[in-house]
Amino acid sequence: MGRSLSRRDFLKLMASLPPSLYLSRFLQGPGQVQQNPNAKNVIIVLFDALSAKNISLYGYPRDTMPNLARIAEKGTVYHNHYAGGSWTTPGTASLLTGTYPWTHRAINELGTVIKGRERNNIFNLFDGYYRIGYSHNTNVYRFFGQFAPDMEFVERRKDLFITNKLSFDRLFPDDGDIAPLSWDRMVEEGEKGATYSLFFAPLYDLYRQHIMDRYMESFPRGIPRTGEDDYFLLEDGVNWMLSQVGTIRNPFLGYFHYLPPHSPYHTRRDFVNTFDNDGIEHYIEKPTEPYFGGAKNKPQNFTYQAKQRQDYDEFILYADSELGRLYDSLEKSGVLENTWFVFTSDHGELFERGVFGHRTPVLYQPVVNIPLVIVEPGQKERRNVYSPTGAVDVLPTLLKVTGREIPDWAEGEVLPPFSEISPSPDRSVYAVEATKSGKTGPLNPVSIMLVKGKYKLTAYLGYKQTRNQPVFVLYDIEDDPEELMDIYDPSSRISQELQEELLVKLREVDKPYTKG
Amino acid sequence: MINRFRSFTRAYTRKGLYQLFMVCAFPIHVWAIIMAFRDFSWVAERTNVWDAIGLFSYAVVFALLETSGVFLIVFLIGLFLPNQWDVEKRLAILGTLFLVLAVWTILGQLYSMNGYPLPRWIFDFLIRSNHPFRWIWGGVFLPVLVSVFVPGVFMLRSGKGRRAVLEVFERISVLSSLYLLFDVAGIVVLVLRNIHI
Repeated sequence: MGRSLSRRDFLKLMASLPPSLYLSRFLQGPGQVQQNPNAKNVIIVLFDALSAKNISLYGYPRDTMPNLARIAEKGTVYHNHYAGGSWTTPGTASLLTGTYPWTHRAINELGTVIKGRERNNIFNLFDGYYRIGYSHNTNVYRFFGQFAPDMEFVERRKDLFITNKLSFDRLFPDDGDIAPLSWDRMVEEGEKGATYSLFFAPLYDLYRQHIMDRYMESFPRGIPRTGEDDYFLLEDGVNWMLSQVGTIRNPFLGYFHYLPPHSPYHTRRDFVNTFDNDGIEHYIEKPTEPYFGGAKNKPQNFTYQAKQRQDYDEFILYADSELGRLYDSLEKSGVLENTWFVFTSDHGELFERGVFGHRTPVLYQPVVNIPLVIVEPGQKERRNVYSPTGAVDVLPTLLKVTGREIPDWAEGEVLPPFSEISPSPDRSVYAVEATKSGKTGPLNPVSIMLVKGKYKLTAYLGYKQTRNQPVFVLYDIEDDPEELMDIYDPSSRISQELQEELLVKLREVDKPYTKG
Repeated sequence: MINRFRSFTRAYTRKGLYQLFMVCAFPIHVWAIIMAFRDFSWVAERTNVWDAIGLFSYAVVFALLETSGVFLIVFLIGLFLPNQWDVEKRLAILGTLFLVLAVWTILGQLYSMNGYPLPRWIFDFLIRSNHPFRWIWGGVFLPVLVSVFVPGVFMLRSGKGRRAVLEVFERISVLSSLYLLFDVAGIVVLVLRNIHI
């Protein structure tokens, strides 16, 4: 019942989004909102599904992100940074709300922030700023719909796609995500293989093919696309962002969520086969994940794994080249002199142990260890932070550095070196995957990761793959960053302490949703 | 051309046009409804039943639009058929050929949806032949040609066959009327979903 109610409210909010956002663009004069001319702008650039484990800046042997490495020379690099969840919905919600998935509860397919917490978001806290956003990812638009009262402008997702000029979200802008979903089902064949439409769909396919043929030369592996089969160029997203930040009033908060290097890994021609025969095809061969690594009669195929990782790495190169262009343009235009620049991701990607992608219960480092680089206006030298940090820390940090108050409900901490106090060595950072749990019920089944100091404990609870038996794995990620040796031992002190802490935390966060 | 349009009243009767529209509506709606029902529970589980009804409504309303477009094309083709053909012959030929086309389209959709693999020996044969595409096109073209040619000739030559087909069309029209009710309900749902009160 509760789920149904919140859904309706969300749709109502979605319905009011496009007109209100468009109207606000015209109605809001420069003098209408209280402005502080000395306030610094904030730009958050997020690349979806970018694992820190595949970035050269973080020690990956392939030079996948030379531009990020260049940017990092004038920024603060967080080497042990974690996503709030293992896929876009929980990961992005943690970043934008500064709370863990057990609090924001955006944990399910088509998930949204739980009713009553919609206003607890970063845009609301930057009141007085011009707040603008864009995302290729449809999951993020559900949040934009919820946060609409706190944002001045959200560019419509499909406006920056190269196809879909006929789609239903233009004809029915007030019907949330059902109108575009219907369009997808009716005319866009995609991976489903069939359409509702018998005769119009093939004609539409020809039209789309005609448009895409123009770009195929540049993208021999296919044009980058979303999960809904919408094709786009990262260049268009970057160009739009640059055109906006150059014209909107200051101070502004911009959130730009780009899909690359999210699968499918369709890199630009310049980067195809860049990493052929570089001697690190298989990187590190790891044992098959015992519970979630595929059937026993289907052993992991290292050659396939290596090919997938190479395609991913070459797609990262493309994303990095656009990041470099974006950053250089901002620097050249002088925007960065007055702007905090944040680069991060919502979750990582995995190519090991017979597990691929990120829609998996496992929380190994490639899925949860993400990049975070913060460039302070005028910063000249690189700083490195090695203590564990989480996506929930970004919100309080940005509030602190822009001189704003941090609300009580924020679950993160101000990141070093911007905090007045040193980070506690006993601090715990979490990541949660609970897609199959009820939105308003206890987290079950659930994967929870706890990082504390050099240890990382992950609990898998309530999964049928583990026959409903709790499974704990513990790694010393300082000495064993590749997580090759599980040191969990129920009789060891560190295992007991971390397990106790994690289970106490789970009981605490489940309490509001536990009957009796 | 103008004469063709002038002969429109001779080419079709009001009842004939209605039946032709309903014949066009039938396969388009059957397919759209089956597909929408396949997704109904998927959407209902993830959001709610009202959204699933919304998806179904978009599907049937789009089917109505598609039917109108297809009907217009079939209607125009009918104007180019020989003037000496009576209304019944015209209707029987057009309706039958449209249904054959619809069946092939549905088979194509089913094939891409389920991905039935071709037997190994066909692949071996195609590889051995130096012109695999000729064989593939030939293999597709032949059954399509037969499926169009045989009923076409049958409709032209057999008055009994035409009457039988027209009776089938009458029954299809009754069934399609039900789909038109769905369409009307779908339009109402879309209006409700897209207006602010």
